[in-house]
Amino acid sequence: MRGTLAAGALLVLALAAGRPVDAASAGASVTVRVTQSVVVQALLGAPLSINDILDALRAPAGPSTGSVLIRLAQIAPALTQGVAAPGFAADAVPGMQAAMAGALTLPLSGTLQRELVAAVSLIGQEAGNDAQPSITVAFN
Amino acid sequence: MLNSLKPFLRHGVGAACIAVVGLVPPIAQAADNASASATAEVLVPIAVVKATDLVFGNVVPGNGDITLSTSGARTRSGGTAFSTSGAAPTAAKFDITGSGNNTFSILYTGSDTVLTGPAAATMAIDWITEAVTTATPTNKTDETTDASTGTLASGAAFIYVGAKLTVGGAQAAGTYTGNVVVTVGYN
Repeated sequence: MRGTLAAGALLVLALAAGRPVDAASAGASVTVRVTQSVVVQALLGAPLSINDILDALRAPAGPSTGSVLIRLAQIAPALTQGVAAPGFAADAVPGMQAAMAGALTLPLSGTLQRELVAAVSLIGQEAGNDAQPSITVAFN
Repeated sequence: MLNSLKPFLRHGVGAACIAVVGLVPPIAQAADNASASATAEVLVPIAVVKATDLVFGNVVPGNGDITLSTSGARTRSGGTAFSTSGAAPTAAKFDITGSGNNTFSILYTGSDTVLTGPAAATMAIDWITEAVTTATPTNKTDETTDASTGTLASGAAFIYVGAKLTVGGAQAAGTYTGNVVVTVGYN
């Protein structure tokens, strides 16, 4: 009796689901991870570490509080001034020239070298040619 | 009592049959007949097994879309972007087995409109589906029409599920999850 009821319940469920009783089902999970990001209004490629950027993001309120650009400027003036830090050569970084020209998309894998390459994985886009090139930094 | 009546009953029934036959009037000798074959094919129960899950990998907030094709290739539009690091993107794959070259219907259920993330945040999603007879997806990117039928080729078929994901400019960081359930049945 119990078995009959169970079979009947399955049949009812199958019919209610609108599928034939000879149907078979399987499920797959769907995942996506949204990462924290920050837009840096400056050329990226200077030997900043990921900790430098995180420190800027988490900086307490004070004279350096403001946009990420300003905070970063406090930490790495060379970044916003477009001055290559010691040991950094723009020509050696693929995509840097395109960034300076305000290109819409930059090849991240070639743009970010050294310490940042492990922590920063992609870049965004810039809306206009007259604007400063922007780079979206996504933390892994 | 019954046993004692058996011989009587047996003979009685036999006699009754003879009497009935004797009463039936003669019929014309123009009988004809024809035969039809009767066949039945017992099908192997159709089955579906998940081979791979659907993984978008890492994306960043921004008003736009991320499209994961049935081949697992990502493209973007608008202000969002995806990361080349993190989990490798893959389309979901389902292996179908059954009888011969029969066709089957496909029903998709599950998180077919939203994925759920941290603090009940959501992301809109729309499946991209296709059913093929070989394990080679066609890199479909069109989410407007789902594959509702498939054909078993020598007892096998494959369903691939990608998706178009809508990302918001203030999309909360974190992991968003959902599921896609494929149900198949013989037509």
